[in-house]
Amino acid sequence: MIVYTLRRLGSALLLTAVVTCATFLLIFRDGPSIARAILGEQATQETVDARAVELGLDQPVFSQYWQWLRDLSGGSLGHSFFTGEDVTSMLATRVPVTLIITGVVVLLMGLISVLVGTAAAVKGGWIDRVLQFFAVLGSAVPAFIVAVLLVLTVAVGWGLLPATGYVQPERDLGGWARSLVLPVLAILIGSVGSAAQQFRGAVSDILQQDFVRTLRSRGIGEGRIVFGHVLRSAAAPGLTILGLQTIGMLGGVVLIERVFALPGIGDLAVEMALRADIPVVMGCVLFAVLVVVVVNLVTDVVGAWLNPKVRIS
Amino acid sequence: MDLIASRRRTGAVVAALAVGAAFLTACTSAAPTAEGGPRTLTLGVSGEAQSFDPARQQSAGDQRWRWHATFDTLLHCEEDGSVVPGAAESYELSPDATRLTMRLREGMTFSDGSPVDAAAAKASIAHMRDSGGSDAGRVANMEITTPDELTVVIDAPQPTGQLPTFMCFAPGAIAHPDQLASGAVASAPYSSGPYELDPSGTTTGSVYRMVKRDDYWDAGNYAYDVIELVTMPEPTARLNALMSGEIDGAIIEQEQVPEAESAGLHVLSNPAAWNGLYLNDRAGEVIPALGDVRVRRAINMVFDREAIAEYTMRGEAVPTTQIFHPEATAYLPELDERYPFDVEAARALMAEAGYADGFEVEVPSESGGSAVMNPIVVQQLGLLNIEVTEVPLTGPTALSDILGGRFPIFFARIGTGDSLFDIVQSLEPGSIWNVMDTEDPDLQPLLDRAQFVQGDEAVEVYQQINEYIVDQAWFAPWVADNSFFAVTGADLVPEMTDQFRVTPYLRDFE
Repeated sequence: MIVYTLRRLGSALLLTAVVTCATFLLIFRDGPSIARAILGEQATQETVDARAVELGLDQPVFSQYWQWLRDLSGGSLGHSFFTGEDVTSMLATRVPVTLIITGVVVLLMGLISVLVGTAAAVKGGWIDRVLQFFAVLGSAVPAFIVAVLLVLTVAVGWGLLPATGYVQPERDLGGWARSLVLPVLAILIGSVGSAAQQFRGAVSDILQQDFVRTLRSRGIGEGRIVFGHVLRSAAAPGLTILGLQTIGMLGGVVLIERVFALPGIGDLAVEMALRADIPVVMGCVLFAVLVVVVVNLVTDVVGAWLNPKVRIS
Repeated sequence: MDLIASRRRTGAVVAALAVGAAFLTACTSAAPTAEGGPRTLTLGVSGEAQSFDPARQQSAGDQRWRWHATFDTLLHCEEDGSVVPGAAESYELSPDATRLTMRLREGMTFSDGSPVDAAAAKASIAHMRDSGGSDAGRVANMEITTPDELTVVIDAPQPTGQLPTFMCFAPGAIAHPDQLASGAVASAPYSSGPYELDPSGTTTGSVYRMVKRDDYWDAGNYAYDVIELVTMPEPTARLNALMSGEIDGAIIEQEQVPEAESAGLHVLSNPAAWNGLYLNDRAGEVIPALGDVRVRRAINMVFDREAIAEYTMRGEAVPTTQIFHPEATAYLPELDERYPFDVEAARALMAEAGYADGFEVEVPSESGGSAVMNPIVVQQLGLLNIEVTEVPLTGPTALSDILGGRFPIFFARIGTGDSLFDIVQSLEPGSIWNVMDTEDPDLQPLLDRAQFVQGDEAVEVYQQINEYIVDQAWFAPWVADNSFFAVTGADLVPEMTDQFRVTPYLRDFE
């Protein structure tokens, strides 16, 4: 298990290097253009050229990437071209917002998917049909449309919850909870049906297998079969589904953060990518890569722990 | 047994829902405004915040609020572009417009108690000049001296009639000299302005809470005890926040106006920009045809300005052939009749100039900007056999490509200020928006005079300049369109006194 984990970490490092290098090449433009974007239309060309040199943007792109890697190895993500802020500090205020939203959504999605998916697979009938309907509906309606509808009805129309903004939990716990409800719902509504349907498929497949028939023939109750054997076997594909949904959700969170004016990392990444603020964009990409790596690692390790068939010796 | 278990489960779900509902209800009513508490104004800001470094600030738009709250400016610009005292109680521009002398008020202090004096003003202007800031070009090569502790003198290398105006902008912001030197001004500035940053209520990049300074010399003109500036780049989020009453005011988009008004919001609408074509290659260096004034006039005649104002701009614009907005002193109503929509006459002009077969030209295409209007350009210039190719521009290099003079023609929406501001912005050789550095010996004497003439004589010169560039078809303006600022009540901003007419000053909120 330790060797396996170390190998996964090694591949994660390689993935990080490849993705960050590709991002650097994609976002990089010629130095004076970036300096012009930073300083604005009123800046003189001399000032623009001087700023490009000051920021090291006159160096070859691979030299700049190498410098970024060296800074990273020293624990520094650099400073924003625009605000001058330390990128680590910027991420420190943004990452928790994104992580909390995705974390709550994943938790609820996992819980609801398992409950509804299992019920649909075991009971069938109307539960299954309703699930199929909502899975298609959820996939058909984009999260930002759901977000706008929720805002217009729940926030603007009924005044029950805030339409925008994020409240720090240490300042107002109730306000914090309220500020999360609609963003979480907007993402959840679009993704939970699909996740539950996929989990239903996994459970349904397990229920068809020979060992389940054998268990039934021995007179073991349906509850014990489902909760003691089937769910454990369905855990691995279920976790894979959840992992993929979590990674896919990062893209959706960007839109949700903008619609709800949440100060998360997605919103920051969009704004700064448009301005070619390379240090900030690289910081955001590094965060996204880390999320992907951690989610995959956790999925594999927990899946192996839950299901002896995929356990790695 | 199963029935009982089922009922228990149903009961548990109902109880959980009830607890959740009670929690939400409790939360909903958990934040009432305290009776007699501070008057708070909450505004939505459309862009990511820069640092507080004065050299990084923008002189127009809603991002000004943050630094306007924090830094006093030496002078103040009124709605008509006139300049009145600010931190400087008086000023004098020399007759040749090369020296500006400002006398500061006595007794002003920063929020740390240190004096706001000539040394601080000098350090601030020099910081903008030397640190490559957003408005560095406006004070480039200027010398600053302080004959005494309350007098600041700026000497410009050439006549600069806009010098007092620049002191209303970011170059006139007064920051603490020690903080400028140490860099501390970027994150935790001492205030010279009407408000100071409240770190305990601020989340960097998201919400900035400003608390009023009662010891500010003009505190009486600021109605609110607390101002909260909330970063909201997405127009939809700003409108939603306005409609739900979470913010009191914000810039909105043209297409949002009907929804805002139907939701009971009050929308302030003002002409703030002109839309149309920059015909940059007036010397014909890249496209010889554009060097012929008849071709430029023909281009002006193939656009149906009234239709564009009515349909493309949804009636929130007025047709014009001028780059000066209708309330500017340079504006002349009769010039709007100069280029009627007449395709046949335009074709005749092209033929007369020897370009009946047209020419090819590349125009930039930016998403959300020129990309929206370029179909009109392609179609209408096609009537003159001018073949237009769109060049997509994305990201931060777009501005550099456009200002670098790469395109002989492009569509633009350009914000306008007072007449001299627009002249300096677009007509001078070396002006930012004179991207191919057109020099015209017939126009230059007027441009030179515009820098120092005053009063009626200034109006006369500005109008002569306007007449000349319309006659010479330096541009092909289509319409002057409006900007929109929505507030939760009409009495919140009785009057918008900002010369750019995009966002109110903080002191306009009542």
